[in-house]
Amino acid sequence: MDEDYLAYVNGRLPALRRLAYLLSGDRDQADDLVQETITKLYARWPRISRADNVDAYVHTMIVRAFLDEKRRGWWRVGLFAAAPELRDGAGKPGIEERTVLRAALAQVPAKQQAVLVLRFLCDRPVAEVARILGCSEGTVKSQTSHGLAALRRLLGEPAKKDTRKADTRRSVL
Amino acid sequence: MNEEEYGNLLLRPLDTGGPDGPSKVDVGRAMRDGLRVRRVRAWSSAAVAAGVAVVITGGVLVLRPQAEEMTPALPADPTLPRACTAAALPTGRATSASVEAGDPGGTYLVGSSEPVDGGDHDVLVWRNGELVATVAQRSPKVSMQDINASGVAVGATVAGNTIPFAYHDGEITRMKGVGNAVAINDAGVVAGDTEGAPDAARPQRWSSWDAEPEPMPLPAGMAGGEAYDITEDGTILVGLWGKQDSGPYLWHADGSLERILPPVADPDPGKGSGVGPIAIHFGWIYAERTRDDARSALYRYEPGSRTWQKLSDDRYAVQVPAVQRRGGGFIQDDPAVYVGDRVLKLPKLKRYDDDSFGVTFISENARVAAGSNLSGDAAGRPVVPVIWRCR
Repeated sequence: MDEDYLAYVNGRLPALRRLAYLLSGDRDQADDLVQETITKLYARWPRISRADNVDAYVHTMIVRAFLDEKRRGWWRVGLFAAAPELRDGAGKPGIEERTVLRAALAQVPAKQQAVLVLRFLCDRPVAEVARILGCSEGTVKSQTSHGLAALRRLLGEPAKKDTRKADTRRSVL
Repeated sequence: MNEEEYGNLLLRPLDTGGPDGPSKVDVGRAMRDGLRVRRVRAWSSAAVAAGVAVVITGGVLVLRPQAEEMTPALPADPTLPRACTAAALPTGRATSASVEAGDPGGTYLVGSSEPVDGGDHDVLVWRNGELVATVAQRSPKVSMQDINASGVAVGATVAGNTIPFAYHDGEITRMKGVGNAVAINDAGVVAGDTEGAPDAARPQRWSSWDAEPEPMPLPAGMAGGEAYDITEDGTILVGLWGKQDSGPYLWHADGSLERILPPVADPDPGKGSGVGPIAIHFGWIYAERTRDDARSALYRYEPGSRTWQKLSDDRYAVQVPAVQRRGGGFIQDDPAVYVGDRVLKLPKLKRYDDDSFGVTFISENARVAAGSNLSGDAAGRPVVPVIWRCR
């Protein structure tokens, strides 16, 4: 049983860290989310391992851990602290753009943030996002619209067009 | 460009793979910690001798049959208010504050200023909605978790070693012993536990805020535990755990312990995986039953008749005010709180388009509730303490 768990976790660890990092935007917090998730996963492994779609369980757990953490309030602390990417990679192409985008995404309400990450960075269909978040597909669609609108507002973009390279940093930082 | 294309185009720059740098994830630790949780949950399905209470007699734990007669009728819930109004509580010189708790009658509320990591954490006390005390306690900072009808509050440090503190007569005083104090009844009896103790946390109580703590003797098989709430007769709701077994108990004023057995009629047998205490309201114990799909159902338990009622499949749909230190709170866009087994929808105190609310207190007659407006999307926005008055 433990071998199955280890095989699963070791095989999925990069993907889990990626999802957690996309949600939290912070390397340490991402690892904390993954640690919490795989701890719960081990606690429930005897039953979860028999499920048809273990990945779906685990993704739900990690998103819920993220939403719970946001509720608890760590996001209020140091939201605009130096971004690790900027520290490590100042001067690299695209780094500042990502930092600006990440900072804007962090200001979007947590559930909308999760919807945007799952749909556009993890390429999950609406129905699967709805299952993960425990809401209707209609809610996912409306949360998508609200989230994109919020991002657009935060980035200072006037309309739905490719203005990612515009100098929008002043409106965020 | 449709929304799908726009979203992909906008967010794709963030798709840079996983975080760089070494991983802090420790799979071995996850298995060790997970094993403990597994054991904690095992109690709900373990072969427990039904109808047995653990009693401490002369310091020795014995088992006694529980009374067979189920005489008490279920306590009547307060009537659901017809309407409520929301108002911001005054914060004095503080720009941001939260409500942590109130007394059963709804006269006193207690909270903290700048309730974020690194914030001031001055203790604020309101009486009938008016700010009557702002007390700074800087080293160490503390947070009060409960207050009684006499205006005496108890709590503990917010960082570092966990040390109990009390607010009384306008002052903050360190309580005797170590750990935290999470609840105080109107008689002044304080419930807490030795959180942070090197061996293991275990429940403790103080006969008054300035008394010596009395540790709770643990029943056989239990290695630790924590306190959640206290009734007016001095019964303390605790959660205990051991290597093979765990679960909620009532620590009665006479020293006896009574185990709370899980709901017998589980509508989803085989999927329930544990019962965790939340708080006591209206004569009922509110508890959550976790499931394997990372969701929790909400139940309540009436100790006199040992009656369970299921309230919701989603523990996070409606709020049950609880000790904030236990992680008992959450925020939601449309505030709602349980009054008995019914849901009281509270009006918003509007500040921003993304207002979110935590409800951290409801009086026993359900005519006063309190909590905070925590805007969901910006670090710089203040937390607004809220009082709801209902009729």
